[in-house]
Amino acid sequence: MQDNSRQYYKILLVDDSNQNIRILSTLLKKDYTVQSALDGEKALRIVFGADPPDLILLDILMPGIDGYEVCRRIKANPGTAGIPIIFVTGKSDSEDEAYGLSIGAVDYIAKPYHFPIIKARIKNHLELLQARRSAQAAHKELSRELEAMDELQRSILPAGGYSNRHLHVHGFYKPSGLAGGDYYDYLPLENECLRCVVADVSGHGARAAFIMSMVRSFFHFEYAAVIPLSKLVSNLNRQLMQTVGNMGDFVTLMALDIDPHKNSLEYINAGHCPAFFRDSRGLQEIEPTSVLLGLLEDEFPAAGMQCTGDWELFMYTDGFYECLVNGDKIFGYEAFRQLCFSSMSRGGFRIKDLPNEVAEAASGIVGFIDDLTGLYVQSGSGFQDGKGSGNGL
Amino acid sequence: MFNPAVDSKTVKEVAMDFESRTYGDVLVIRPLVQMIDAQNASSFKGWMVDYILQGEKKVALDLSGVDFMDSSGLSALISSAKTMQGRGRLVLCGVGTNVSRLLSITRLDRGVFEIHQDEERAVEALKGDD
Repeated sequence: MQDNSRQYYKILLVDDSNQNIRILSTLLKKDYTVQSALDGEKALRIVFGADPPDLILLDILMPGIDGYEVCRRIKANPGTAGIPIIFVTGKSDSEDEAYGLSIGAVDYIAKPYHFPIIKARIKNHLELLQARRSAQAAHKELSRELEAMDELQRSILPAGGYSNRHLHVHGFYKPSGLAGGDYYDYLPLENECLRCVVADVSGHGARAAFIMSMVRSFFHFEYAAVIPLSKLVSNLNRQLMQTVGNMGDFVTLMALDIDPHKNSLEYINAGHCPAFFRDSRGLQEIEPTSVLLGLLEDEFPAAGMQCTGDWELFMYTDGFYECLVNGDKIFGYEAFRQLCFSSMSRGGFRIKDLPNEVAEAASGIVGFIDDLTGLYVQSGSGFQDGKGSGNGL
Repeated sequence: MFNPAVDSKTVKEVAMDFESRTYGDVLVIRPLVQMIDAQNASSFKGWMVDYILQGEKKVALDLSGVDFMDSSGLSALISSAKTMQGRGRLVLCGVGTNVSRLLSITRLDRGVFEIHQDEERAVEALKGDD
């Protein structure tokens, strides 16, 4: 530490001896801004006042509030707990020292004074303080960046639901707090057809968020709507392999084109959790049709399905079932499938209720550790045409 | 009871312990954790990549103690397999129901990862390379 930078630091000397204060003040005032207090009450007024110190040299034996109590009160307050306290005292046995350190002091200097030692220890603890403050500032900045990214991610997901005369769509997104890699979307195609997608990028944070926005751009670029699904997904896979594939990152995805006039679906499930589907024939899982994306040069042929009568479909990410029950057990896919099938067969499926339903079925405290993302599509007639109509789900 | 506040906003990295055994030139690695997830995936990947870069050419990863793996864990596993490409052979064994389901959903059990029922069979398969 350079001498000229030390002036920035304020050191509070607390001692009931005027002489000790004078000696220490003379020693330190060349390098630091020195404050002083002759008793515990005044020391606490300074610490909790408008101009608190950066470090405190604290005597233990003082009339009124002693040094231990001053230390305890400072450490009990989150706003002042980070101020390093060094006990400077005539009490010099190891039990005293251990006790002083146990209540939060960072160091313990026994009288009589050895000035070079006092100066060296103050310097060390101020350097540690500076390192801690830098780390805290960096963490705060990083958190702000992640929050901004989280907000941006939310803004590029569709808001509300969508309806045309034959289809009704409702999305659900509940982020876990970290910028994540979940994505859902729906894009109206010609002739009242609709393209839907739910995707999940491995991992969390900035990296996953970046890949997620890459996936979205594939579904949103100008001609995406006229490109067959299999070609779009193959192109996306190639791009992922070229850019992030070597790092182990991957994307799982379920995408489908719905033609309400033919009452048919064309879909690709690339390593994604099975979607749940119900029509007049009953309930079924729509299983993966190909490997996850970003790993292998492969074909991604679309599968077709002819629906019978009105139908409903739920696509989601694994955060719904990879949740912790009572802190150590995973809720699991099978329990989640049973829960969803049961709701669908009763005709009462509502995405927004799902987290609570999972919690009820788990009979324990459920902690969702990942983003929760889902897309629910219902076919039928008489839906109101236009966006923003999905509140009923 | 649903407690969304149970999770913090930061993922704490946790180091992972391993148990390893050798059978001739075959190394069997067993992670001593029940979950491989965002908290320990980078430690897991670090260990695996270290073993491979140290020159281990026949590695069986015994997942019999691992009940759960999330996408971060799977990503670390894929990274390990990619590191092994061109260097040797990495096989999995002792894969439990949840991890097996993950490998099945992602279709990584179809030609991407070589999966054996248990350690004995994995070692046998790797020894057969000679």
